[in-house]
Amino acid sequence: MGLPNDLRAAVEHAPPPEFDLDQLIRQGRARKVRSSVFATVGAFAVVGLVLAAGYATAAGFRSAGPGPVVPQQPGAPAPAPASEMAPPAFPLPSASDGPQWIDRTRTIVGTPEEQANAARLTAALAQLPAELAVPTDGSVRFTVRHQPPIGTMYNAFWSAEGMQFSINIWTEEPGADDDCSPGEDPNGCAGDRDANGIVYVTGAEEYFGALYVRDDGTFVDFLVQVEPGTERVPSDVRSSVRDAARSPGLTLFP
Amino acid sequence: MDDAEFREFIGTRLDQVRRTAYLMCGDWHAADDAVSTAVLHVYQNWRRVSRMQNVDAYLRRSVINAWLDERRRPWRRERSVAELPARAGADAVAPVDDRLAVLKHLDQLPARRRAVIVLRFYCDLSVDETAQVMECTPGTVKSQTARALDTLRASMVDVTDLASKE
Repeated sequence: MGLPNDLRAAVEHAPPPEFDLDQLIRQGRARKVRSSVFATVGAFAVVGLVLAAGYATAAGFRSAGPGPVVPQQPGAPAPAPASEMAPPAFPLPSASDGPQWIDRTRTIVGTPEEQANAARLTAALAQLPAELAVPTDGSVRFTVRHQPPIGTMYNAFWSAEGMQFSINIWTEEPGADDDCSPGEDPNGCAGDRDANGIVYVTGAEEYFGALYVRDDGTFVDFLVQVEPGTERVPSDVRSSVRDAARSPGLTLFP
Repeated sequence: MDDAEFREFIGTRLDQVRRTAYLMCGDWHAADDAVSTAVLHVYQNWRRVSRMQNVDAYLRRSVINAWLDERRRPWRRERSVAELPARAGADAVAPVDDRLAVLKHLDQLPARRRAVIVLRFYCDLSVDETAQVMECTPGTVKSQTARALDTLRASMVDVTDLASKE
């Protein structure tokens, strides 16, 4: 028969597909919406950074650069004069200065619970491995947003070594995100259970994401994508993203 | 996003793409997994993909990448099921020996050589078109094809008319 005919004969009796095209499209649309949420968060952060820089410049803050915009609490003392503000640094929490998970677009970190979460997540971020290139110069953009119906979403975003990193952390009912339901693999997600939850990874050459659905109800979505001109997400970064999504500190339920 | 345009594109190619994926995977379940992954990927990037010169090559490449990605984590494919899938009997209606023989021979080939054989001799792509899908040089396609045909020859697969296509 010859090879081409053998190949055609081998696929002559194709069974009907196992997947539903309409469902795939719905899932794809849901993912697009989720991506747009991330993009919106990033855009707000950029605008906030520009506004913060403009504010610092207007205040005569020339040499040291813009400092962190810490939310003003009711009854708290007035902010120090610009000339006395410390230069921006990677915001690590301490017992004295409290959480510094900062939204540069508007003051959102308000409740004690949000402040505690922010402090914990900021500390966890500082422990990520070197491959993830978390900047220590204050250039990580933090946001805390109320994102109905998800609730409060904590986001960290940074850019380094030709890649953009974004971590979103929120809580919801496990299984609510039907993009990656355990036991199903309809759209490229693949789940791997460990002691504290299930991690799903998905990606192509230009991006890689790890979604960790913790048993305690925390969702950690860690996404890295290469900037234009960069070939692909390096394998060691993919591996680190997958591990980092499962970092013990990245949870909203200590 | 123009869903109608995407549906029309996929609708006219889905059957062929599934068969191509099956020849690569040797398993309809794995083939459907790879195709659904690829379809979703193309859908999510449709705005950019639809402006490409060769959208078909992109779709085929997506299927191959999905399959190669899946091969790198074969343990993830193991799942226990309560009941045997209903389709298990569907394959039995065809002359099984003939159909499975070529799949068995393809199984001997490394993944990318298998993909090259399927693209060249099932999809009937040229060396250049195959190179575009595989994201490699035409020279690599030629060498992979020649080595794959050598292996198949050793398995007594009739490749006598294909020498000119190597």
